Amino acid sequence: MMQRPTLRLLASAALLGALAAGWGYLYSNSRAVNTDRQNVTLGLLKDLKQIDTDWGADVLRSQADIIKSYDPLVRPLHAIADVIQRLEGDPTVHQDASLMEAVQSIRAAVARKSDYIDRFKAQNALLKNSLNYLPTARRDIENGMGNAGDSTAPAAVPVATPKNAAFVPVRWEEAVPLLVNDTLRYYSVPDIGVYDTLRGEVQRVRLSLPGYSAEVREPVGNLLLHVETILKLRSRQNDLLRDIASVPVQASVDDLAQRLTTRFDVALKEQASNSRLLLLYSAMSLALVFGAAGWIAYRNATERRRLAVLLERQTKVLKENEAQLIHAQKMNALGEMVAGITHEVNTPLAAVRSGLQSTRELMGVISETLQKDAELAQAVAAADGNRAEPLAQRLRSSVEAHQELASVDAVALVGQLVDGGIRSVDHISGVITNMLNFSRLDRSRIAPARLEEGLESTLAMAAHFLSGVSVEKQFGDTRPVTCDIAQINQVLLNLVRNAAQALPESGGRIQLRTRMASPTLVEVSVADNGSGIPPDVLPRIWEPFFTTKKQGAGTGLGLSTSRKIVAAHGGTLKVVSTSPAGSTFTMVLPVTPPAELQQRQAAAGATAS
Amino acid sequence: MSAVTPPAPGIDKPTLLFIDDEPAILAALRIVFRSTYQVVTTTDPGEALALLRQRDFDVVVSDQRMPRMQGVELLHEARSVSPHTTRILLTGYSDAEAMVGAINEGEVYRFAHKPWDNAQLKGLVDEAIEVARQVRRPELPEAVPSAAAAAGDAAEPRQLVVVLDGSSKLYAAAKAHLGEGVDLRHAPDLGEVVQLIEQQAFGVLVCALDAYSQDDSRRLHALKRAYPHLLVIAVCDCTDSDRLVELINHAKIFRFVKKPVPWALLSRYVASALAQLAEVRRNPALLCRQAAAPMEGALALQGAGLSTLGAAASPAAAPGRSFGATLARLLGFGR
Repeated sequence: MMQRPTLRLLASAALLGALAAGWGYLYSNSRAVNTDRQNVTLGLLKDLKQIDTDWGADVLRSQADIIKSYDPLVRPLHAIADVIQRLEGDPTVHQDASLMEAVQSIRAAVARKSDYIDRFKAQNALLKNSLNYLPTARRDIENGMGNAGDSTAPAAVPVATPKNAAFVPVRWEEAVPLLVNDTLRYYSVPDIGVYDTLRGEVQRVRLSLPGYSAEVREPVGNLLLHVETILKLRSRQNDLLRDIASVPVQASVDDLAQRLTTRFDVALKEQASNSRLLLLYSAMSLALVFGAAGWIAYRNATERRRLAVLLERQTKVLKENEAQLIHAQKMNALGEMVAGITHEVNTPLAAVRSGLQSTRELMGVISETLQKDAELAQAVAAADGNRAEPLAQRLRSSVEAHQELASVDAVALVGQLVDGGIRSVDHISGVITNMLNFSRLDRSRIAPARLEEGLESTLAMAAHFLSGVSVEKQFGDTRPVTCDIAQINQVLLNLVRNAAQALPESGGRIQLRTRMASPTLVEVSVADNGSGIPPDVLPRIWEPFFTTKKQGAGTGLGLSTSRKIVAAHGGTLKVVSTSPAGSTFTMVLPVTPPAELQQRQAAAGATAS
Repeated sequence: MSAVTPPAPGIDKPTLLFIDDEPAILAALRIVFRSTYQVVTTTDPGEALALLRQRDFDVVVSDQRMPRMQGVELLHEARSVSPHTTRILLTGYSDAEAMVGAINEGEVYRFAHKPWDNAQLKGLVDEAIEVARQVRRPELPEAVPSAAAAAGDAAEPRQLVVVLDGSSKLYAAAKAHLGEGVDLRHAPDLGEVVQLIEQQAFGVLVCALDAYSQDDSRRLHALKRAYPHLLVIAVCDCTDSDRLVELINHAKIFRFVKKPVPWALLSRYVASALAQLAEVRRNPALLCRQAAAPMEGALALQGAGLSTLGAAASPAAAPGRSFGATLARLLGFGR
């Protein structure tokens, strides 16, 4: 029992700790999403896109020959690698496989793009070289011919060959500007029609080449090679540029951004729900704590009220017990007094009674002597003869005295008086004996007794207030009851006294009945034909200190004490009362009382002695 | 202070000793008894004992409550000082403890109450005188035939003691505590007791009394009237003074023991009962001390009366027929 408060305290502390821990966990979850970091990451992605866009633009610029150096095409690679590294270092990305996958696809796209751009750079160099050659070659051809002054020579007309019977040779003077112009045009706008035309021209000039002069033949041949290179590379460059543009770097970055945003949204939603959960949890915790506090307060209040009621009841019981103890002590003192009186009174009574009896016995002799004396006096008086006057006078007075004694029948009177005296002594002795029987100090306290005898001795005790009351006895054949008969007699006297006090002025009747209520229960009932107990009073009659008698006439303890005594004997005391017709109190006692009674009596005896 | 009525010369008047602390009582008693008895009275128990040593008294009557010595104590002393003097306790207050003492230690012949009836008291005293005279008569000569049988009985190593006990609880306990020295028998009812007496002529009965029953006294009274030699040790769980008066005056019990049984004491009582029995065998006159006074509503052991006492009482055991023979057998002399 001593450990229970400590246990409860520990349990409360543990519960509070658990509540706090739960709250902390939920709180940290509801603050997990870092918007700043998210924004930094998204900024990196934006930078990446920008870098990529610029990179593409630089490729076009490089193709358009706006920039000559290839540095702008190489530099973005470093920037991009740097950004990707930072992305990979981001804890959010790092922890998420799908985000890492997206980063890897960016890395792959960039690598492909870089690959294409390297190829572009190589082609572009060749292309630029051929392109730069065109004007130089044209000028060289035209200048060389002018110096020779033989540009219109028919020698330039190529010999017809059997294969190209329909072939018409072209003049290099016309063909070279056309080739250069068309090539430049194709370079700037790589149209398929221009390509075919150019291809045809190149073919024709090549066929016409053998007809040209030796000085012209070589440079034109070179020119044709460059034009063919340009034709070939330009179309390939177009494909490459398309490939470069088609590398999905932007898409990959967008994908990552999308994924990041989605993830962020999910995290935000989670956080929002965590916040709601936290709110709910906090509210519940508060409710729990307040509820517990309220419950404790309520319980304390209830406990206080209960204790107050208990205290009040205990006080009442204590007061009642005290009064009953005093009552018991009074009865005890009375019993001892009766014992003392019995001895002290019986001794002189014995002397008086014996004396009176002896007197009565002596009265016979005295009476006889007187009779004889009277007869003698009369005889002497009647006899004739002279006597001395004094003797005659004494004789006369003796005769007169005897006549007077006879006239009042003195001897018989004395006899009656003595008899009356003996009867009175017997009466006193009887009263004393009954007092002793009633208080029963001469018996061991708990002993078998017949309740009928208890009733008889009670009636004798109650004789003074039962005059004029008709008492009917209907005694059954009951078994002796093991009890404290002195206490049971008190109960019976209480019941008889109450009955007597309820009786009308005349015609009062008390019925005493005994019977076996069961083989082990003896029932005693005391019924009166008195006024009965009013219904409003009936429930209260067993309460201690309750009395309807006038102040000082009753202690109000009679019935409550009686019920206590009967209960201690394991019995019951009940009443049936009909207000105008009278009341019947019924006591039922078991033949054998509960074991506690004997023990309690033993203890009481030990403390009393 | 003692007062002695002068003895009438030449007549062997019975001598009575009265002790009471109240002179008026002594005066009254003197008046009652003075004509036909020699009466000595004293208020001083010490003087009474001195007187008992000096002279022969037939009867000593003592009050119980006295300032210096209780009546029980005085009678106990008187028993050793003057064994043949019959002892009567005259008391105005029935103190149960004192009564038990008077039975067990004082071996009083009767209890008498204050106030008394002169005629009744006279009758009681006359009875007591008769007992005293019987006891004092010269002992019977050894030559009586059955004395040898009595001696033979006495020589038996184990004497028969019967326990009358309806529930047999007492018997079981007695067997454990007393079983050594005596031959214990159990009798569930009075019929069985009668049967056993008829068969074995035992003389000591330990009797468990119902907590409350006047019938017990009646039964024991009947038994005692039929078999005066029987010494009854009553075992009861309550002490009730009225009852004790009944048991001593009408059932003439030998000892009274209150439950829970003090076995050592009971064992001593059984031993002294057996010793007493032996003494009675030697001097049957002592038997008159065991006389039970008549009782109102007494039961008869013969005929119908017996059948109410115990179911086990068979017609063969009806004691009327063989009572005399039993007595003779037991006491060692014929009628």
